[in-house]
Amino acid sequence: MSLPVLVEYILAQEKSGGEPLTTLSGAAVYIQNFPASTTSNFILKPDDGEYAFFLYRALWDYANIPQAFSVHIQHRGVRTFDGTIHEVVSNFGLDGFLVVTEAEQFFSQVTNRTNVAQRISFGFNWLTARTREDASLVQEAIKRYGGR
Amino acid sequence: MTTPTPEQQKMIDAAVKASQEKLQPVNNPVIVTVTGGGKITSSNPLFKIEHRKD
Repeated sequence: MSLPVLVEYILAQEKSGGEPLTTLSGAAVYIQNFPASTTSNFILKPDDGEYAFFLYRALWDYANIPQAFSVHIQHRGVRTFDGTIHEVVSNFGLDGFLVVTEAEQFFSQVTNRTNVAQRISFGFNWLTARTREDASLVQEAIKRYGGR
Repeated sequence: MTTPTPEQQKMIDAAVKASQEKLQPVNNPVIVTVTGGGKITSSNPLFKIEHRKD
């Protein structure tokens, strides 16, 4: 299953009034001086007026120093990625959408393993569903397509 | 090199003590620049999230 094709399929879905069911969105995070031997948790959740994110990609900047950071990603209590960043990584092995809501937030823990401050940047892509009903329709569309 | 007199040593010790008392722990904030949508928060109080909308 090619996730980008499924993303395009969902983006093409419309509500009964002709409005798009979802919007394509994302975020980029940039830290110039991540302190040495330090860990921080980062939590991503929908903004006000948004119900759910269907997160389909998480990626690192190619310019991150190899082996400098370890990352632990957890969603709904399940570890989805755990490792050391040593090259351009995208998707973190995601083979399906992570549904992120206010109640089920996206949790990541980032550690600078080195003894000097390092720059780091990473990003996410997702589809936004504004209401619970929209999110249900997205989930139906995913099932209809044979995805998960 | 000469050895300080007891008076000079006392002045040096007092100066060192005074300067050490002024020392503050280093708590420079770490600026986290975020662009795009969603809400991103950090558990570490040193990390200051700045959402850029430009």
